Amino acid sequence: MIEIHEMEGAHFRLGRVLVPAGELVAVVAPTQACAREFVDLLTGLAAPRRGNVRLLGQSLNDTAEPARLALRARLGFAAQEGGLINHLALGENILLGAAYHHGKDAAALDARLRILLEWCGWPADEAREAFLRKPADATAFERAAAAWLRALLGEPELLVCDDLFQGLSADQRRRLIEASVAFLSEKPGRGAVFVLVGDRLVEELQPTSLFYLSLRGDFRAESQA
Amino acid sequence: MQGDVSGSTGAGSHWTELWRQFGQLRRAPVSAVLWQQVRRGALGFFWLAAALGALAGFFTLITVESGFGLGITIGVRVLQELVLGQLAGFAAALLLVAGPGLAGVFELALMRQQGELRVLRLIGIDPHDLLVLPRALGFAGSLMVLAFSFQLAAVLGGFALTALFSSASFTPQMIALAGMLPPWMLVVSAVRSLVLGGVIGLLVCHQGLVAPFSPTRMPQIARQFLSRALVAFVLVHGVFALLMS
Repeated sequence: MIEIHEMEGAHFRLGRVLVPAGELVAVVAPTQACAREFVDLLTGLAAPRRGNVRLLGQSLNDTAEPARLALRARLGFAAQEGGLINHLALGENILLGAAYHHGKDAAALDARLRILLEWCGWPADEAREAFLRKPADATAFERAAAAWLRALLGEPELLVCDDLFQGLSADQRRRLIEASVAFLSEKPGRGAVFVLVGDRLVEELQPTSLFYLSLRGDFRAESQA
Repeated sequence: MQGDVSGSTGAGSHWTELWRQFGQLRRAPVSAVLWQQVRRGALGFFWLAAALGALAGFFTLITVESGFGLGITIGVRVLQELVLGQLAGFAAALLLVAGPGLAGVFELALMRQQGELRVLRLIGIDPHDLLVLPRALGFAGSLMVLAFSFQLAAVLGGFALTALFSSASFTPQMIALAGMLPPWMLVVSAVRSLVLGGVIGLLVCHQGLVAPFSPTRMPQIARQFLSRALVAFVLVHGVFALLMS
């Protein structure tokens, strides 16, 4: 699912990483800039200074931008800060990716949304009220959940979360983690990458693989298989 | 990371993208942006354009027919050439540029500054598809509707107000206009509005997505955009005048 060979960015270096499908991966970054850069390099939004990334079987170095866009359409990206379009309401943000890529009818989207809301323990009435709010007027959980719902509404092969849990309570974090596990269990072959800033939440996440990015480039990887 | 629209170097590249990605309009979010743009531009300023058109028509007719005493035929001729031919397009373009145009520039520039173009790419959406194409088409449609509402109000409102405040009656003015306004002139006017509106839309996208931006430079950016839009207006009208001569 993810294959990284000696990735070198502006902020970090990363050795060889192999992540098969079905894994819940945590990547611990020392800073927000590191985390952001890792997401950019992993998704082919930026090119690494050195090295190569193979994502969902495709080498990003050999892929042109239109094909990368198509590849990213198979991913689900969720970030609480800077992950939503500010002039759109949360509801519009949630529907944006799925309506754009899959053009599903409203009933199908609504049915899927109900399942996802149930997974993350967000009461439907409360959620639909929040969907009318713009990201700037929403709470941290509403933004995080909206970003998570948008990512999963398109039924992605790989969920990529960038510092999703910032400012959330332990209960809110638990709900999103359990919902992500439910998403992974629903269909074999799916995967999830949680990029965390600092390792404070690793224990809560209980990833099947854990990687550390280091500013100094002394990468160490631990696998908790 | 501000993240400009990849591959964008100016209005020329926008035109290429525009043609290549026309099929994107089938996607619901893209067509939603298009109709939102038309609503903001055309419907938001429809009545203002109509009111300005009626007043422009009235002042022109009353000045020429009663003020200068040149009669209905000359008055209607001046209305046709000056108000319907030139002023309608200019006033509608000015309304569009000063309202939705400037708002669009700052909306796009802030999206770029806040990293929202990155978000679009991360969810597999080419910013050209969602931001450039529907805006260019939306501005084109809006300008055509605004110019037409200005022209229609200039004729109907202008004739009615002139009949109210002078000895000229409504019907002879309408007959005079029908005799000197060939239908193809309306088509030319509509096409010119579409082209100018599209150019304004592309200028909005260029200024918002490509040109340097910072919140402290907003007054300079607004001035630069208005200047470019006025130059575009003169060029488009000039090209059409040359083609029609």
